[in-house]
Amino acid sequence: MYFFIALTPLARFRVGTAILLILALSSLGNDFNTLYAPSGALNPSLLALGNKPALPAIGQLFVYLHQCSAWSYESLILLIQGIYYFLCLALLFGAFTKPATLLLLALHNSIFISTVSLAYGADYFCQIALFYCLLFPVQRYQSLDARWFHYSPISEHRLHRCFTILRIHLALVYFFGGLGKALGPTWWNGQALWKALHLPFFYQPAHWIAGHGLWPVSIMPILGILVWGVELCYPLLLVAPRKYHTAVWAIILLHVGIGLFMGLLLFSLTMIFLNVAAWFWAPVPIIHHTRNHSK
Amino acid sequence: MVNGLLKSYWFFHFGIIVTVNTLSFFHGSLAERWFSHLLSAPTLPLYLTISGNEAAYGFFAPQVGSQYLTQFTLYNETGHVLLRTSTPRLHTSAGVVRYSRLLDGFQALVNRPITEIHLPQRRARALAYNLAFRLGKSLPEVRCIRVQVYVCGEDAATLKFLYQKCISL
Repeated sequence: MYFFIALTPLARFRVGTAILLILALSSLGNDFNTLYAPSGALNPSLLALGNKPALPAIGQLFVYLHQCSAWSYESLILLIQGIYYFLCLALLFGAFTKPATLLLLALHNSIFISTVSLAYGADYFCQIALFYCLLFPVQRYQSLDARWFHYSPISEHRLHRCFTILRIHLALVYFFGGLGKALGPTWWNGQALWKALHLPFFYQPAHWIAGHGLWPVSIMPILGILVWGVELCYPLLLVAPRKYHTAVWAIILLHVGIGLFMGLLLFSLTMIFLNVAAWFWAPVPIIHHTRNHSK
Repeated sequence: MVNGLLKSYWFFHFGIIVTVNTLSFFHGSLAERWFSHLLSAPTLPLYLTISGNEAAYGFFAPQVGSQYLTQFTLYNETGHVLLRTSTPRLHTSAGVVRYSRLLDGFQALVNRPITEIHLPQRRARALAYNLAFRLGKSLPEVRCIRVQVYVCGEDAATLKFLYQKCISL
């Protein structure tokens, strides 16, 4: 933890993204074989039916590699997982960061996103974080690349620009998420929140609370409106950054709730990571910075 | 010059995110079809995929979707129940979350008579068959397997039966 805090903002972003990606794969354990391997519970051709991903899905990639080589599916799964972890470690330590990130983008996409039927929010946001690792100069700080190629740090202005881009992206994410919810009547009367908390696969703590009659049912409409209200107002942080602490903490609290009560741990962790990175790691918000310059 | 190019790129990047998300509100409309045609140019889908922006951000919007459940009952040669399970050998919560995403495909079975024409429905039935068949094959003593598909009611407490299939192995 101390190691993580001692890093500079862009190095922390790189390391955090790598850890998230490692968690994405490792959290599946043996279920990876059941869900993604051709010898598992699902036929890859059936999974791909009706979807036209830009990059091939991992199931089809396994079939193709199996046909082209004498390797068994088990060996191929170990190989692909090994490559994935190796690329994550390369990103974490900043070794040949850009090529490793590009390869990791393609592999993460093939495994988690091209298999559309099994993809959910966390996969897309991990991909977004990875994409920004490709665009931002994350290799210039506390990395093996910086040691090997003698990179110099970027200017503070460029650093702020990187985090401003992340803030704009998050503002769009929450604005459209909030707008979509606001258009649905069930988010006004609390029914959507009630349903989200009681879906059978998402999980246990919410069911336990409901089973003991502890849910504050009467405030469900207020909580529902609060959810989309906070999301819809998120872009205001860009124009009124002085108030950002409270609003960002509200969003973080929302994601802690999603993680605890719905069991979407990776999704919550990814969103908390992106929010903390965007708002708490860059030393001064960009608007303050430009105002100081103009003075 | 470099700054101008960078600004243009970010304008394009965020513009395309706004377009994809705005179109998701007009699903099936003429504008959506026109823009979808525009977005199907060879390089744009690849860019959207790589940047992680091919899907809109409307999670649980405009309403929380129904959740679908499967029930597999495995029988041996004498007709005794060997196992009853709701998922095919999943051990982690991350795996179960992804499996629940897969079951969204059973939406095609809701309020629709069984037909051979409707492709999403055929895919849903093939999915149920495939899940059951592969689960049955994983245990040598299984001779017959029944898969049932349910949807959770609006109150999230009741289950509505959608589909079932018995497969002899």
